[in-house]
Amino acid sequence: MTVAASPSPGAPLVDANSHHRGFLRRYIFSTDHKVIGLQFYFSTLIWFFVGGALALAVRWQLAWPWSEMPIVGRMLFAAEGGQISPEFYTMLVTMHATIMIFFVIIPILAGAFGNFLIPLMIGAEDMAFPTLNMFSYWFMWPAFACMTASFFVAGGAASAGWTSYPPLSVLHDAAPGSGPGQTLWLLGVVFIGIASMLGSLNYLTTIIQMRAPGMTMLRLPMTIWGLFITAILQAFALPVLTAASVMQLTDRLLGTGFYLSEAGGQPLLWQHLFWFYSHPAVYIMILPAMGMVSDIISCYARKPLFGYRPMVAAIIAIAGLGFIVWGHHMFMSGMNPAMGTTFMAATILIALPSAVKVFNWLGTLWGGRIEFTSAMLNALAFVSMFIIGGLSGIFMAATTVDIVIHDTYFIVGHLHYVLFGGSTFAVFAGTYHWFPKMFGRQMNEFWGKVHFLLTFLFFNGTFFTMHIIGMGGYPRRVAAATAYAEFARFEPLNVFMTICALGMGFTQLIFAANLFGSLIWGRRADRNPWRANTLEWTAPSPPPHGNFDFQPVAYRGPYEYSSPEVTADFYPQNQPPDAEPATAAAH
Amino acid sequence: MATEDSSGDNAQHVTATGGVGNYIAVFVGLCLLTGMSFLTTSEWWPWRDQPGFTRTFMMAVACAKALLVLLFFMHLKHEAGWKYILTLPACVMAIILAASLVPDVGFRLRSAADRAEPANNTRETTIERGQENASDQAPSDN
Amino acid sequence: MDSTASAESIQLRYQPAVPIRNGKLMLWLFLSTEVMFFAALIGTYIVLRFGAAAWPTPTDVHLSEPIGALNTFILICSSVTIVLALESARADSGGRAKAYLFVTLLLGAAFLGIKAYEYQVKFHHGLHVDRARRTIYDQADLEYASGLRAALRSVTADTNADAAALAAATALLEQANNPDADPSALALQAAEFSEVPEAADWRLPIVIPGGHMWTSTYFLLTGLHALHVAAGLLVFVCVLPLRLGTARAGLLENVGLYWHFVDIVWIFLFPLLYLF
Ligand code: HEM
Ligand SMILES: [Cu+2]
Repeated sequence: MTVAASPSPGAPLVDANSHHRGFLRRYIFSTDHKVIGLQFYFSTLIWFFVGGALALAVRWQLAWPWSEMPIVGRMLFAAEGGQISPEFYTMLVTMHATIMIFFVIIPILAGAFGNFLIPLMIGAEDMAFPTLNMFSYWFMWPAFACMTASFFVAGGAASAGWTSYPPLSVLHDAAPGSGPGQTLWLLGVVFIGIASMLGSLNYLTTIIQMRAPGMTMLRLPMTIWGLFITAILQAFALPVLTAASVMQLTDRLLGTGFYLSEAGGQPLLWQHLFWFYSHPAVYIMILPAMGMVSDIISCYARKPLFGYRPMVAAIIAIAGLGFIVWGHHMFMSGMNPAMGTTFMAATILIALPSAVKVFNWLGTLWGGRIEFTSAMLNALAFVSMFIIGGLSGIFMAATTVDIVIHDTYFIVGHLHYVLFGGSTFAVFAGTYHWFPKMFGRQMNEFWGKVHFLLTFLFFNGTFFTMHIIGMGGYPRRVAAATAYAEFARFEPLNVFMTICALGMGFTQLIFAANLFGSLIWGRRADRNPWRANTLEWTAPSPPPHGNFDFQPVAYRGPYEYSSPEVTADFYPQNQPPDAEPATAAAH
Repeated sequence: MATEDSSGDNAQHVTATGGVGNYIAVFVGLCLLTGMSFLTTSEWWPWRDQPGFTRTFMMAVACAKALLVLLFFMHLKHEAGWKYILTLPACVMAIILAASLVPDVGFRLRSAADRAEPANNTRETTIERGQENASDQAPSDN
Repeated sequence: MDSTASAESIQLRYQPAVPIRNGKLMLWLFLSTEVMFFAALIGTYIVLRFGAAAWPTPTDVHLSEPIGALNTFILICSSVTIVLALESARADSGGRAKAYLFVTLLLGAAFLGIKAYEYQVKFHHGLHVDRARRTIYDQADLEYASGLRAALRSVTADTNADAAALAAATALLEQANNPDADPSALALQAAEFSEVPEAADWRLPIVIPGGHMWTSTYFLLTGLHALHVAAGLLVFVCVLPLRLGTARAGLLENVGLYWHFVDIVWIFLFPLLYLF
């Protein structure tokens, strides 16, 4: 492996510890985008395990309804003899989804990878507004506090579903969780919205104004494009959710009546405003992942990304269309049928740019010299799982089909194929790929592959089965549907899914062990262990405060792998065209 | 925040403006427009019985006022092409959002009213309005 | 980022896409998000209002158009003064800039003061959002009927009441005491009752069709707008102690852009809430 970049002799080498600041300033209240990115990463990782534990409790109940939960059951529900109550089950479902979406996938993609990668990949020393960046992380904490506290208030945490539909979420006595738990839920959502919005404004300014010379918009790595469009989505969609949540809060606390038909309001108003945010939000959860996967696939296939410009156009098209399809979540809500048809057509149109992306990834792989690293395996899982999730999405997008499968486990299958099979595998891939840059060490490849293989198998075991019982009509958000005669036949499948889910849950401990173990025992990484082209690999690993010890300049796009113009099989973005040996990448 | 305002070459671009006289003219225009929409509540307004027209007129006046503020106070008149990229998308999205609420929320009583007993309906409206004979289309009477 | 770090590392060069300060770009992006925020709120108001079965007239809810117009005028004035503050700062006359900014602060405070007065009037007439304190009803219901009975009984029990009032009240009370009485019909009669001065209270503050939704939307829109005004004032207070020369013109421009936006929101709220 060649050392791709070495600092030119004249430039002063900046050391990470060269400026002496207190521990607090450096690691806690840091304004350095890399530290903030890692703060996001580790915070969300903790929530990932909390959310995962809730999911396992849900699965336990579904497979062995009302049976005593081992170990934790006695602690949590001593009163009920160690078994889950129906109210507690709805709370579990609500909080699992809320945590996974708002506290894990969105912040880990936009917050952790976005913060860490944007300045490094575009050749900037930091974000445009480092202090604001710090605040965008610290605004997460009131949200964390609200959600945590909501588990301990009277009635327990919110149980109106992660979609928080009124009147269930507005009337205080609708459900046990509709009390203070729901109020805290809404406050948490407002805070997390502020945090994401501050972050996205910062990303936009940084990407627009602080690209290195030569780094034109069409030389940006796909990761940056994904994050850029995501930031735009957040900037336009989040304020609507904030406004809607404020109205739900006033409905609950002050007695306004926006969402209550008895007061002249309209429950569907919430659904429209909520999905106006939350459908773009599913793209917020997938576009950065698509970008990262594009970079990773190109790097490990040692081939240029197939169709860079169509890829950019597809991302923009997905985002644009993504704003006018939210009604596909409301086909069964009594929405105006003419609107339903419009939303159906727009939704099915999204399959087009999505397919462009899939075919371009396949085109990139075609004939490549593929290196099956842990990162690449996870990226390949992303592509294949996204295909399944996208296809099931098209089924549901047809109103007539959706009448049958809405609110069944088919939906749950779909969303886990895109969110776990898609986004989460991309997070794994990104972690294996950028870990050396983050910490200057490499993760263990053997355990990475073990983790991948087990996760992949258990994942499909758990979630593919959901499509089958969903087609059979098995409803979601019901604590013990097998009690109904027509669903009793799904009992063995439920047990199978739960066993797979438990296996998948415990497999994540391998990931955690690998992650933390590699922090200490991992092999040291040089600047560019993967022989990648993008700018972040020319900075030291880990990059110091200020990132670059030379002026980065981009001479070409990020995907010149196996270029005939150079002897090395990669051609870093900052290598001047005439400087032949790839070892002199830095200038 | 070293990068914020001192980022070298792009700090120089101070937008040209029209000067104080210009601002005063815009101010007078804004006051006149405000007066015009206020006038619609007075007795001299000829289209009192046409709320549709009156409301359209008031919204047009409001748009004109907003445009004046945008162009002159916020200096968009003198800015380069970026002004379109940074303003138009939000406006389009805002209109899409509001318009898409109309069928389900704006017309929320329409289908219910079609199905309801007509007699029931009329009784309710007379009482709701009390002894004022204003229907809910009529402009406020002061 | 603090200066020690920048001094040690090299000063990086960038290729900005738009020829404006980062702060200004960020502010315009922020305004886009604000547009979406108010689009959701105003859009909600429009659809809820025009889809409503009934909507109160301004007199029903003690809404004063002249006061609304006055507040519009005040905000327009403040927009002028803040843009003049910016011009002064660009001309490097910090004192004048400060004076203009101070006037803007005063105007903004006046706006909030008037707003508070308007709220006071509404509260005085029982127009609360608050479920517990609200004394308005969308339509006459049983609660209204019992309230009316109590009011009538106090008239009939009043020994000083004049004969005409007593007779009218007794007649109405008789009807109201009928358990089958239709509250809405009672409301109609009560509306025509003019013999005692308090009779006005039996009518308006009690039954305002669409009043609940009106209070919901009015207080939501004006309240969130007022919060934006208050945030602006807070920023003014922070900026005022600084030396407002050319070096601070950028800062003043950003503050001004935000303030103009708040003005524009009001420009739309005024006709929508007061004149429609
Ligand atoms: C080809 C693209 C896609 C299409 C056509 C599509 C279509 C749909 C439809 C029609 C529904 C509503 C089903 C129902 O409730 O009856 C749905 C639900 C959902 N989708 Fe997708 N989808 C696509 C991609 C994605 C992606 C990329 C994500 C996330 C990363 C995602 C996440 C979700 C989630 C979370 C739900 C469930 C929401 C709930 O709790 O009700 N989808 N999708
Ligand atoms: Cu969707």
